[in-house]
Amino acid sequence: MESSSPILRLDSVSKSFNGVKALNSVSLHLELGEVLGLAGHNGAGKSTLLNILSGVFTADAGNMVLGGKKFRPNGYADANSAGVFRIYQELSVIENLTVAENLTLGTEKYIRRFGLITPKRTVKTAKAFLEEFGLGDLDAKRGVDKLTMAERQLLEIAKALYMARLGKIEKPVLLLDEPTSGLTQNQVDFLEEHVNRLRQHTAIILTTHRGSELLEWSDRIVVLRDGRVVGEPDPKRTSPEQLAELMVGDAVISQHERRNDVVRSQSPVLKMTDLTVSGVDKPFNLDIYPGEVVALIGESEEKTQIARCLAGLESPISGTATLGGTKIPSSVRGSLKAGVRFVPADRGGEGLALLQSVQSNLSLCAIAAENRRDLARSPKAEKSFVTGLVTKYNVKVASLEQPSGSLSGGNQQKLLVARAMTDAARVIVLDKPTRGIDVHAKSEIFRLIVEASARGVAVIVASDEPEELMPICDRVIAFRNGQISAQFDCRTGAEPSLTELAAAIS
Amino acid sequence: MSIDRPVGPPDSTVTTVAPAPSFTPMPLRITSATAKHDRLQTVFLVAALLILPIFFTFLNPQYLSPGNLDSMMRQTSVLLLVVAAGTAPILMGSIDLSVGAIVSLCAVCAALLAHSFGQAAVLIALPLGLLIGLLNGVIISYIKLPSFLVTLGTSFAFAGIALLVSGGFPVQLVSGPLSAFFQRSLFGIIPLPLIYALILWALLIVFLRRTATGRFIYAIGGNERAAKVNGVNVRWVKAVAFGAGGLCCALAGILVLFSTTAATPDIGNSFLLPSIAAIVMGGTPLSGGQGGAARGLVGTLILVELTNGMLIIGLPPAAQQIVQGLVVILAVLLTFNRRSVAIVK
Repeated sequence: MESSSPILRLDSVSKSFNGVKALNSVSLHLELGEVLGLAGHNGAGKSTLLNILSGVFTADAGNMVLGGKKFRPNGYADANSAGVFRIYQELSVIENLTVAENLTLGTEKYIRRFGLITPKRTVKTAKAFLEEFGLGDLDAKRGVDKLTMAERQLLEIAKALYMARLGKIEKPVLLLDEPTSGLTQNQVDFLEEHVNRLRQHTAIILTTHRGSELLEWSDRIVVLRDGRVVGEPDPKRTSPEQLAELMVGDAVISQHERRNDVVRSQSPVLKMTDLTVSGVDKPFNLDIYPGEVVALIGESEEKTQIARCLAGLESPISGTATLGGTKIPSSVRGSLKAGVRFVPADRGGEGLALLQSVQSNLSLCAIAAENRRDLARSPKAEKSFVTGLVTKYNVKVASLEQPSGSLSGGNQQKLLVARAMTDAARVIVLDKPTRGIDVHAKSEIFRLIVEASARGVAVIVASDEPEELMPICDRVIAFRNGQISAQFDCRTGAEPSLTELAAAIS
Repeated sequence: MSIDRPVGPPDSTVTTVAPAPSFTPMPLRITSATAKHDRLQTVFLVAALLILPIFFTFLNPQYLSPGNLDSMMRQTSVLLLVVAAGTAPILMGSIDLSVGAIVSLCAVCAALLAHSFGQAAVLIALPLGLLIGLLNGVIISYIKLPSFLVTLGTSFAFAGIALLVSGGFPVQLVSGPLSAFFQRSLFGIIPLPLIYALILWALLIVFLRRTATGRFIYAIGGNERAAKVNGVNVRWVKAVAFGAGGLCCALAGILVLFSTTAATPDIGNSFLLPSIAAIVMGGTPLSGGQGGAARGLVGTLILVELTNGMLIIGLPPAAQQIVQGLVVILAVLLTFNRRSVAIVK
C-alpha cells in the first residue's frame, strides 16, 4: 500500500432511522488501487453505508473526507461530481443501444461536431476510452442486448469511469453493489479479471452475498453487524466459514440435517426419459425419488431450462418427463395439476405481482390450480388460508395487505417457496432460489426445502452456488457441454469437494 | 428429524444461523404515499361531485329541475354501463377502445331486430354484444395482439357495420310492451334504466372481487407472467373479460335506444372518452392490477353532471367539446397516481 493518505476516510459515521441505529459510529478508510470488501448480512448497515456514500442519505453524525476534501454528498449527482460512483445491482444500461451509445449517453455534447453526433465518432471515442482502461474486450459497436450480464456490469463500470473522466476526476471511487448477483462462475471470473485491470485508476468498495468471492476479490475486508464494524479479517487467512461466523456474530451456527433415509428402492416419483432441452442436446435419463433434494448445476442455463420444462413453461426438445407414471403435460396448468410446483428465479418478473398484496399473491395458485375457488369467494377463507401459510413458514410480513414488493428480497423468496409448499405438491422445482438474498434468508429457504423433503416431496434446485446447497442436498447432477458430466451422491458424508464440483462443470 | 439443530464442531460446514435477527421492514413509502393519495383523491372527487351542481344551478336554476334530474339519471345509466364494460380490460392492463362502437352496433341491430320480429327482439342484442366482445377478446388473447390496436381496429369495423346495416339513417324503434320497462320510473322518481345499470354494476363489483375469474383479472393486471406461472388460464380470462364488456355495451345500447327511440350508427361514439376518464377518476390506473369498478360510479356521476350542465347553460357545442377534453385531462392529472406506475408512456 502506498504511503500517501487514503483516498476516502470515514470517521465515526452514524445514521438512524426512526430511532433505530442503522450505522453506529463506523470508521473506515479506502486506499487508491485497492478493493475493500464490505461484508454483513441484510440489515447490517451495508446498504445504508453505500447510500450515504452515494448521496442518497446524509449521515447524522461523523465526517467523511474524499481526496483530502470534506465529503458530504447531497444527492447522487453530487456524489458523482465529487468522484463517487455507485454501480447498482439492477443495471441501468439501455438494451437497444450499442456499447458506445450507452457509454456516451447523456454526454453527447462532448462528442458533437457542428451540432451533430456521428456514429463513427461515437464508436471511436468509446473504443479509445475502453482500450485505455483495458476493457477492449467490450466491442463498442455491439448492441447491449447481445452482451452477457457480466459484460453489461462491466459497461456500467466503464460508464462511471467515463463520467469521471468528463468530470475531470482522475481517481474515482467505485461502489460495486452485488456485481456478481445472477452471474455464472465463468462470468464472475471474467468480471473479476477486468475489475482487477482497473485498480490503477480507481479505488473500489465491493459487496457480494458470496463470501468466497468477497475473500477472493478484496485486499481488505470490513465486516458490519448491527451497524457497527465488528472485524477486519485478512482475506488471505480467512475461510468463507469464518467470515460467515463473523457476520453472524455469536449466534449459534447450525446445520440442516441431510435426509439419509431417502429410500431409493422406492419407485421414483419423477422420471425423465431421453430428455433433451435447449442447452442439453444429448438425451439424458434422470430419476428423482420422493423426499430427495437434488441440485442441478452447470455453467450455462441448461439447468434452468430443465426446471422450466418441468414447470411447463418451456417444451422439451424430445423425450418425456413422467410424474408417478403419467406424462407431465407440457403446459403450466398441466404441470401444476400433476403436482409440480415451480419457484422462478425472477421474483419480480415471474413470481410475484409486486404492487399487489401479500394475500392475493399467496392465494393465487390455490385458486387457479388447486380447486380452491372458494378462496376467491370468501375473504374469510382466504385470510385464514394465507395466515396459515405465513405462520407455518414464518414469512415476516407487517400486514397481509402490504404490497409484496415492499418485502425484502429474502421474504419475497420465502413467500414464493411457501406458496409452492402446498399439499398438492409432489415435486418442487426451484430456479436459483438463493439469488441475491442474505445468509439468514438463505438458511430459512433451506429449512423450508428440508421440511418439504421430510414430507416426501422431491425437491429439485437449479443452482449457481452448489457449495451452499451441499449440507442439504442428497444428489448433485452436473451438466457440461450439453450433457450430464457427473453425478455425486452426497449422502452420509460422501459429499463432493468444491474442486470436484468445479471440475465437473468447467 | 430435526432442523436448525445446533451442531458441535465449528468447522462443520456452515450454512445457517439460528436466532433470526428481527427484521424491521423498511417504512413502506409506497403504501403510505398511496394511502395519502387515495384520501386526497376521494376528497377531490367528492368535492367535484358537490361543487358542479352548485355551480351550474347558480348559472341556470333549471339544472336541478325534476325533468333535468331525470335526464341526468338516464344519461348516468348508459355511461355507467360503458364504464363497467371498460373496467375489466383496464384492470388487466389492456384497454377496450371499441366500447362506443359496440354500443352503436348493438343499438342499431336491436332497432332493426325489433322492426322485423317485434319489440321484444331487442333483447337479442345482449348475446350479440357478448359475441362481439368475445371476438375482441379472442383476437387479443389467442392471436396475441395488443388490445389497444385490436380494439382501435375493431371499433372502426363495428362502426362500419353499424353504418352498413342501418343504411346510414336513424332506425326507429317500434313501440311495444317493453317500452314501459325502460321508460318508466320507480316511484315516479328513479328511472328504471338506472336501476338496471346499478344492478349490472353491482354484479360487476361482485364478479371482480368475489370470483376466481375476477381474481385472475387482477392477477393478470398485476403481473401477467406470474399469473401464468401460477396456473391462471390467461387467454381464457382475457377473452371472458372482453366478452363481459361486450355484454355491458349491448345493454347500454338497448337503454340508449329506448331513451332516444331511434338508433343512429354513431349513437355510442360519444361514450368512449368519458368512460375511460370515469374509470381513471375512479382510481383504476391504465397500468392495471389496481382499483376496481366501485368508484367508477363517482367518476360517471361527475362527467354526467358536467356534460349535462354545459348543455343546460347553453354553452356552444364546440366549446362543450373543448371543455370536456380539457376536463378529462385535468381529472386524470389530479387523480392519476403517477407514483404507483414506474413509467408512463
